[in-house]
Amino acid sequence: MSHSSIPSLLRNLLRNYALAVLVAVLLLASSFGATIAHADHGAFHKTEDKARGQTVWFAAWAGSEKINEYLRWVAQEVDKRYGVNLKHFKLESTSDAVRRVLAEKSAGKHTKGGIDLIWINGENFRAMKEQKLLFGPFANRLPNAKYVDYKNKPATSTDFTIPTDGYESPWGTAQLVFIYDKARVAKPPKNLKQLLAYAKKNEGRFTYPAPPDFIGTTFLKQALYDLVEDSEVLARPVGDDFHKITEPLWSFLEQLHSVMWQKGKNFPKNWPKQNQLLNDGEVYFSLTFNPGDVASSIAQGTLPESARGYVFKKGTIGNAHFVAIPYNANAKEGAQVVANFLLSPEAQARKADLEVWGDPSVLAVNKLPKAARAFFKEIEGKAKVGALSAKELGKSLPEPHPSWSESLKKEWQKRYGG
Amino acid sequence: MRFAPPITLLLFLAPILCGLCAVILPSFGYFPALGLRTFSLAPMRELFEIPFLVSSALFTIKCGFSATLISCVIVFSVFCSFAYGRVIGSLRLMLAPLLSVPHAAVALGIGFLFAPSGWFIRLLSPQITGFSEPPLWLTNPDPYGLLYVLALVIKEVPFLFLIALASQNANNSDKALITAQGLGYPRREAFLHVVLPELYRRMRLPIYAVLAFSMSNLEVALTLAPGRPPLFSRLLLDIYNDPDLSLQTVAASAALLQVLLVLLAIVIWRIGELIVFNLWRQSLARSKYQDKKILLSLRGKDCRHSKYSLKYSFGDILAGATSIGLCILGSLAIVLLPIWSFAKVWRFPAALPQKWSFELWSSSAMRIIEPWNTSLAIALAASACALMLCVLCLEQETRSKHRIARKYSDKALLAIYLPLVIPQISFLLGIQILLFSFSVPIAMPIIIWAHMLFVLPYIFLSLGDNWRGLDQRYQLTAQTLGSNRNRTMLLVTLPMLLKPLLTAFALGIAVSIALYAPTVLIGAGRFPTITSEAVALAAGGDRRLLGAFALLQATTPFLFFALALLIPRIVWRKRAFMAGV
Repeated sequence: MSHSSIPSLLRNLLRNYALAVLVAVLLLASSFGATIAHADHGAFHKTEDKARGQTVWFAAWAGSEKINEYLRWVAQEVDKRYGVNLKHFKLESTSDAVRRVLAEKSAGKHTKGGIDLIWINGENFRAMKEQKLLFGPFANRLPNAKYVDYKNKPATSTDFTIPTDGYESPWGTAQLVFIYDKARVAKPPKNLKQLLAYAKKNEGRFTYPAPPDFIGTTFLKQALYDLVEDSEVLARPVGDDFHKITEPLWSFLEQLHSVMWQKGKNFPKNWPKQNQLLNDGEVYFSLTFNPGDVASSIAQGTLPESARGYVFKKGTIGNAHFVAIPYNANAKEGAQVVANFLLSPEAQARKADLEVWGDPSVLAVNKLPKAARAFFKEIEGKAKVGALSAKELGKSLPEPHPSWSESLKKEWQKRYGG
Repeated sequence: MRFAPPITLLLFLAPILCGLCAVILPSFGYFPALGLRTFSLAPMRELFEIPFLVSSALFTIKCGFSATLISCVIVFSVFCSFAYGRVIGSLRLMLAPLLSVPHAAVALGIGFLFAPSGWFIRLLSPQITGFSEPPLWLTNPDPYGLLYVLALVIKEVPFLFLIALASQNANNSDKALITAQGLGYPRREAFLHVVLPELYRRMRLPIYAVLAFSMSNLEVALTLAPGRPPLFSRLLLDIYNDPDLSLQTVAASAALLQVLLVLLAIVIWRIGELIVFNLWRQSLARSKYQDKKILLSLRGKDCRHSKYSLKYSFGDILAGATSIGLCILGSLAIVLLPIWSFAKVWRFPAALPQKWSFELWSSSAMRIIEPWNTSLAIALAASACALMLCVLCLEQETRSKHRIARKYSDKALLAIYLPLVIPQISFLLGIQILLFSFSVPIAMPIIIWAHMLFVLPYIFLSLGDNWRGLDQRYQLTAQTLGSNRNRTMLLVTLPMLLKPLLTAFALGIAVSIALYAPTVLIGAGRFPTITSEAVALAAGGDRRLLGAFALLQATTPFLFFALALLIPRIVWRKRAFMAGV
C-alpha cells in the first residue's frame, strides 16, 4: 500500500462513521415516530426487525400488466421502508402455487419453502386451509388490519362462505361486471332472459371465459343465481340435489351456446383474452371482476373507447381477494410486513387508482385518520371514461359455498370439454 | 475422456427415469403428502371416467401423425426434387431462420393471421370482403386442429430439413446419387432407392422426436388447438391445475398415460415404416428403369436435356412451392406479431396500426430487458456445457471406433434422445418432486441443467453426423506427423468442424430460449425468461408486450445463427476449403 492512500483510507473511515451515525439517528427517530403511531401494536416491530433483509417470494397471478406494474411499485416501497426484498413469483394460475406447497410438503420440506406469500381466495383458500398448508392466524395482528371494513364488506372475513379465521389477510374487493361495446349494443341485456334473446338476435357475439377460469365459473354461478328459486341453497355445501338444482342452468346454456361466439365450441381462456376479442370486434361483450378495469383498459388502449361496464338488475356476485402465508414459508416475518403494507391506506389508495390498477379498497375509507384519507381524496378527483360509480354497481350478491364452484366446474367440463 | 459417455448418460438418464418413477407411484395412488400410502387403481379408474378422454387421446394421435407425416412428406419431396442443387441452398437460407423461432411465437403469430379478426381478413376488408366487423368463421381455433397442425409443420419442416441436410452432407450421398444417375436412373428414382433409405434411417430419431413433440407440447396446444375435444397435453394440464388436490394422483395417471400414448404412436409409426419399406424394396426389384436407362446413359445422351434430369416436373414445383409457402407464412407470423409492440390503437379492419407508439418500449424497457438477460444467461451456459459434453462423447467415440466399445457407446448414446421422445411434463413433474426431497436449492445451475436435458440431444443430433462424417485420414495424418490425440483434436478436428460446432451451439441457444415447461416447472417460476413471459402474457392477452417478447424471441436465436454462418467465413476467409467442411 502506498502512503498516499492513507489519507483516503481515513476519509473513508470517517465517511462510514458519519453514515453509521446518520443511520442510527434516523432509525431511532423513525422507530420513535412509529411507536407513537402504532402504540398498541408494538409487537409487530419485532416482526419488522426480523423481516429486514429477508427475501419474500410473492406468488401472484401475472396475467395483467397493470397488476404486475403495481407489484413492482410495492416491491420498491417495501425495500425502501422495511428493507424487505419482494419478488413477484409469476403464476398463470393460483393453483400452481397451491400445488407447489403441496409438493414441498410431500417432499418433507416443512421449513424454508419456496413461497412466502400467495394471492388467493375461494376454492384455493379452502383447499389450503383444509390441508393445513397455511401459516396463521396472522391477519388480525397486522397493525393496518384495524382499518379494514369488515362490517360493510362481509366478504373480507368470509371467503366464499368459509370463515377466514385470520389465515388470510384481505387485499381487495371485486364484483362481476359485464362489459359491452356501446357502439354496437344499443341496450345491454340486464338479466339472463334478455341476454339469451340478445344472443339469438346477434349470433356469435357473446361468449364467456371457459371454466375453470374464475370469471367463467363466476358467470355460471351468476346465471344460477338468476335461475334458482331460493338462492339460500347456494350458501350451503352442494348436496345430493345438485343435478335437480342446476338443471335449469344446463338447459339455459344449451340454448345460449348454440348462438355464441364459435357456436359455443370454443371459449376464451380468461377475461384479458376476452377483452382482446372485444377489442378486435369479434364479440360485443366481456366480463371482469374489477369494476375499474373498463376505464383503465380504455386508457391503455386494450379496450375500445366505446366500451362500458354494467351489472345485472338484480345485482352481480361480489367477493374479496386475499394474501395468505404458506405453513412452510421461509420469510414469514417479511411476508407479514408485506401483507401489512398492502393494507396501508397509501398502498390501498394507489391500488384503487384507475390509472394504476383500479381494484377497490378493503378499507373503511371514512374511518381513516385524516392524513390517510388524503390518499383516497387524490384519486377520487380523477373521473375517467368508463368508470363505474358505487351506485351503478348496486348490490353485490354473496359468493356461494366453494363446493358450488368445484361442482359447477366439473359438471361444465364433463358436458362441454376441457 | 473415457468417462464422457457414461457421465453424459448418468446426467441425463438418471433424472428422467427417476422423474418417471416419481410420477408412476402417485398414479397408482401412493402420495404420502395426501395421506395416501397404499397402492390402488382408483386414480386410473377416475382418469378413465373423465369425459372426452378417449376422444382427446384419438384427436391427439391424429394431430400428431398429421403434423409429422406432412412435415416428412414435404422435406423428403424437396430433397427428392432438388437434391444437391442450388435450390436446396436457397431453401436452406429461407428455412433456417424459422428453425430459430420458438414454437410459441409462431403459434401466436399464426393465430393472429387466421383469426376472423386476423390479419388476412383485415388485409381484404372492407374493400374486397365487405366485412366491417369480423365474420363468424370458425377459424382460430378451428374445430379440426388444422391451425395446430399448420403451426407445427411450419416449425418442424425446417428442423427436419436441416437435419436431413446435415446427415446427407455427412453421408456423401451426393456421390451415391451421381453414381446412380450415371447408371441411368432418373434423379427421383435414384433418390428414392439409393439415398432415401439411408437418409431415413439417420433421421428416424429426429422424426420420433417430432412425433412426440407434436403429441405432447403445451405452447402450441394452448394457443391454437380447439377446446373440444382437447389435446391430451391440455387435458393433462387442466387436471394438474385443478385446485382440488386429490386430483393430483389423477394428473399423475394422465402423465403416465401420455407417455404410453406417445410410445404407442411411435410403435404404430415404426410398423408403418416397415410396411412402406417392404413395398419399396419390392418396387425396386420391379423397377422399369433397370436396364433401359443404363442403355440411355451408355448411348452418351446428354443428361442435361433428358426428361429425367434437371427439368422440373409439376411435383417438383409443388414441393418447392409448398416449402416456400411455409416460409412466407412463418415469416408473416413472426413479423406481424412484433408490430403490435409499436401499436397504440390497431382495430379491425385496419391492416396496420392506426396509431403508432414507442410507449411500450420506453415505459417497459426494464420489464423487457430483465427476462431477456435471464434467457441469454441460461441459453449460453446450457449450450456451452452441452456442446462440450457432446464434443467429448464424439471424440471418445472416434477413438474407440474399432473396438467393441464403439458399438456399445453408439447404442447407449441413443438414450440421450429420451428427453425428446418422452413427453416433457410427464417426467418434469417427477423431477420437481425429487429435487425437493433432496432439498436442492433452486438456483441458476439447476435450471441450466434442466435446459441441458433438452439442449444436448439437439446439439448431438446436429453435430454428430458432421463429426462422424469427417474424414478420419486428417487425424491419422496429424498423428503420423507426431501430434498426440488431444493436440489433434484441438488443432485439427475442432477447427475443421468450426462451422458445424457453431451451428450446433446456435441451435442449442435457440432450443434453450424456446423452452417453456422446464423453465417454469424446474425453475419454480423464479427465473422468468422471454418465453415464459410470452406464454404468461398470451394467457393474459396484452398483445403489445407479447409482441415485444415475440420480437426478442425471434431475433435473439437468429443473431446466433447469423454469427455461426459469419464467423467461419471470417476465420477461413483465406482457406475457402475449410469453411466448406
